[in-house]
Amino acid sequence: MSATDSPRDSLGADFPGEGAQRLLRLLLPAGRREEFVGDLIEEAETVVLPRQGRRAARRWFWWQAATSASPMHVRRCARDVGMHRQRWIVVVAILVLGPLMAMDSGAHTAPPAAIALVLVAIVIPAAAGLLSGNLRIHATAALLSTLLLIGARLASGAELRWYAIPWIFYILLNLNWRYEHRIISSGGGSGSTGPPTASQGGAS
Amino acid sequence: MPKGSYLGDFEQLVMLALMRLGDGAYGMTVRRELEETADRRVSLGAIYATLDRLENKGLVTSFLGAPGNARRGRAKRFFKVRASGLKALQASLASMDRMRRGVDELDPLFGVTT
Repeated sequence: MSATDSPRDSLGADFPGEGAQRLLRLLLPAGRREEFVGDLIEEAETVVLPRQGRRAARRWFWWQAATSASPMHVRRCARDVGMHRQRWIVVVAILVLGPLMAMDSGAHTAPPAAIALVLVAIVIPAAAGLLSGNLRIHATAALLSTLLLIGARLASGAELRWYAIPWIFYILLNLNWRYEHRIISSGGGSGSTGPPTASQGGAS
Repeated sequence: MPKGSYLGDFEQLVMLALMRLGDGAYGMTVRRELEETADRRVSLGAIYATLDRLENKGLVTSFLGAPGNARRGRAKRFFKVRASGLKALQASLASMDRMRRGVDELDPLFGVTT
């Protein structure tokens, strides 16, 4: 262990730093991210740092963050299937209807590069619908999808009626968003945690 | 036991860790308990995913504690086993025990005299 590696009391008041926090926001799903990062900082500082030093503690912190991203995202998706069943139906509808509508527009006769662009243009709104309930993200996905379809049209040179496809997806996601909001507003949503009891609330 | 409330091997370990830790059960302590007592090295993300699943099944409840300085102002999320969770854990352990009985090679390991 080098001199810079020697154990110290703290990883620093600003640990893990502004840039790292932005990276963690990208890496980890939103639900319970703060508690999770708090747990990581605490274990890195109180357990790993005294035993193995500052560098090892930082390395441990990032290794844990990286290896935790996958199970947390998988869990979030699994929970979404249960909580947002309608959204999943819309996403499946996009993935089934998209290729059918594209084929109806003659996309299957286009060059391979154009077909690939069409497929990406279908997957983007489906992924946006799956990963986010935010309408702005859905609109951005629809816009991006439209641009890809314009690219596909330019690549194929054919007169195809593809541009409406992403906006039909957007309307579907929009209707689903309103449906989900109505359910939540009427108290039918799930996933909230029970309030703490008096005996549970005292720990810090 | 209803199909949905059966606990897998890792869920049983996490539930037992919650019970061993009592009022001090949160992500980090559960991870440490599994590592030190059960010799299971798992990522904190796996612990959080399992706790979230158990909470969704209604077997565990959670609540936020006060933010701490050692955590750079981030609160701890404490977990507690519910009565339904205790029941599910007992049922899972009992079914495992029933399956184990009569397996002659295992009985001496568990100190069972036949």
